[in-house]
Amino acid sequence: MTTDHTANAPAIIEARDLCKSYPATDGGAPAPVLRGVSLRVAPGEFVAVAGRSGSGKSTLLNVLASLTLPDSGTVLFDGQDITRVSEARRNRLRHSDFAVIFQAHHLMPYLTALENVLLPFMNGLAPVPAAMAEKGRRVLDRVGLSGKAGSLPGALSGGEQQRVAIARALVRDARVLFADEPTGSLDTATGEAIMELLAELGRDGLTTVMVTHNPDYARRAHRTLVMRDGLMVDSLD
Amino acid sequence: MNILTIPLRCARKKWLRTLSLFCIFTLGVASIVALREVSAVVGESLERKLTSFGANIMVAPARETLTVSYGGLPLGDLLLDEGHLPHAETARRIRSIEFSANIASVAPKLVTMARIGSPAGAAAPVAPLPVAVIGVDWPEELSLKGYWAIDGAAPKTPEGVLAGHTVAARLGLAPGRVVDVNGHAVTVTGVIGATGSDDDNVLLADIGFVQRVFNLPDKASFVEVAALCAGCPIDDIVAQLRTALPGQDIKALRHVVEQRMYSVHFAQQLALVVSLVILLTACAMVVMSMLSAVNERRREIGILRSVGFSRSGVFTVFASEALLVGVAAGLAGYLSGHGLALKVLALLHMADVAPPVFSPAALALTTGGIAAVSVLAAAFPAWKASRVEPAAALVSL
Ligand SMILES: Nc1ncnc2c1ncn2[C@@H]1O[C@H](COP(=O)(O)OP(=O)(O)OP(=O)(O)O)[C@@H](O)[C@H]1O
Ligand SMILES: [Mg+2]
Repeated sequence: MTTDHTANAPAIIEARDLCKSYPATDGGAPAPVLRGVSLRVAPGEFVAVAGRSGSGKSTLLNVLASLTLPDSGTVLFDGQDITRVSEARRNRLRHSDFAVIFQAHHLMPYLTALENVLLPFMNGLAPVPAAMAEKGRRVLDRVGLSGKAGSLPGALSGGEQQRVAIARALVRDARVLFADEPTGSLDTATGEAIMELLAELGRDGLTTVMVTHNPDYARRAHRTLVMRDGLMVDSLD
Repeated sequence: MNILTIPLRCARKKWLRTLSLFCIFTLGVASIVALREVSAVVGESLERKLTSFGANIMVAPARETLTVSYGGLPLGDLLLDEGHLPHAETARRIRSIEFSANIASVAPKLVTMARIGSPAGAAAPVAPLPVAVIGVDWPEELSLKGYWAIDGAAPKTPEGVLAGHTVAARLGLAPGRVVDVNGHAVTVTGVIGATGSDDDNVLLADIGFVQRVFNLPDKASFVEVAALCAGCPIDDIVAQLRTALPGQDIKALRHVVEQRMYSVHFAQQLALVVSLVILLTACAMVVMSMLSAVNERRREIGILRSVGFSRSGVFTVFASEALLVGVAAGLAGYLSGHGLALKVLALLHMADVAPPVFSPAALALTTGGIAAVSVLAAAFPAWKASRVEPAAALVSL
């Protein structure tokens, strides 16, 4: 795993000098969480982000996925700085180009699996097109959830919930999948199955940025970036 | 499946919260509707009851008087016209103005003078005195003089009269005594207790009888009118009467009107204030419930934002939940409030006034209004919800 083989390819995601701090809760000086992070992700790449707890991995992922803004620095998507675009453009990015999955709790608890998959298309008074609903069923089949389309998240196992979230990324043909410890709340076997699914999607060309603590899972990525104290360091400790 | 699926599913899943919110709002709407309808009817009924304390419009012939004196000697006022109204025609015209529904009583008076002596069998007979004999329309007169305390009864025949307190004392009149009026024997059926007004000094008889006996066919000296002013201002009624009765002198007895409307408005304003308090309470409940819902559901907001929902989209999700509850509570609240009003009015025996009628327009208006109020109440929490940054919303548990 080297960083060289993508260095000259046009990046789909490129971050430059990202800095971010959260206001201190006790009224003291703001604690810097990202202290000048730069990275490049080429189209179709599967990148793992590792690092100690509290090193800023989730914050980095949120900034890249346009879920929060950095204090300084830029994030380029297809060459466009997405930290300086309109709110509407950021909404469109989150809707069509980026998909995020988290450790847990990312499904609407009172919508069925299929409705959760189709959630991005429910953003308006126009009904979800029948073709899209059909596609939603197909991606549920693809992630191995045929027959669970009508189930509420409460009736699904943790692994199945994670598959619904992945199906939600697939149904939109998202260009980049951001995953924050997607196996963190799953047992080893289930986590392994989810990792297998993500690796398969990666082989099909889905650009993926995944935060993980698990070195085995990190090894499945094309390369692993390591965070330490808000900085990108090259190798694992 | 569209954006409304989200609040609908949520309302169904959290049915207990939805139901309690619905109940609170329905209760609020029902009490407001019931209060409003009851107070409208009670106000009208109250005004009708107040009518029995006298008239508020006076119709009299326009008189031109000239004070004449000659050689320094006052000769009194000279009346330039005969000073009478046509009785039947005036009453008919008053009853047929546009606002005729607001005319509660039309009480004509015919003022005449006669010398009346003590009745046969009086304890201390006195010499005949000049007494005013007033012709009245008994049913109309009695509806205006609800405050009379009659010793005896009101006359049932044209040959019966009521005697004022002072006249009765001076002439020794008592119920059952017969006196002579212009050569006609009439029976005193009752004596009116002291009123402190002109009624103390007169004999009241049927207007038809007085017209006959004094040879004044179809004449009236003036007409007292009791108008209900809840629905329209007294000035409009007076203006319509002026058009209907050209050349007559029509005056509103303002102090009576104001006094009466004060009582009626007080009752209605009280109801309005109570309604507003209820409405504000219901709104506060919606705001609180929406605020806590929004805080509980920050993660859901984060999910919606992370799949590209705009701020207005998130706002729509929360506001439409309030709209849903508002519309349902508006419909149920109006219907139960209307039913409640009918029940309460039946218990209050308000039979003299028409009960409130069910109106689809009022239903639509109430529902629309309540829906708007609940959306407004939810607007702040929903707006607050939509401001949350996606990442910040997602981390909170
Ligand atoms: N919303 C927030 N407000 C304040 N501080 C925050 C917030 N989010 C994260 N932090 C702080 O920023 C630092 C980095 O957090 P972050 O979640 O990015 O770390 P992480 O590498 O993902 O850790 P973990 O492996 O435990 O998930 C931590 O010290 C955390 O306490
Ligand atoms: Mg994290």
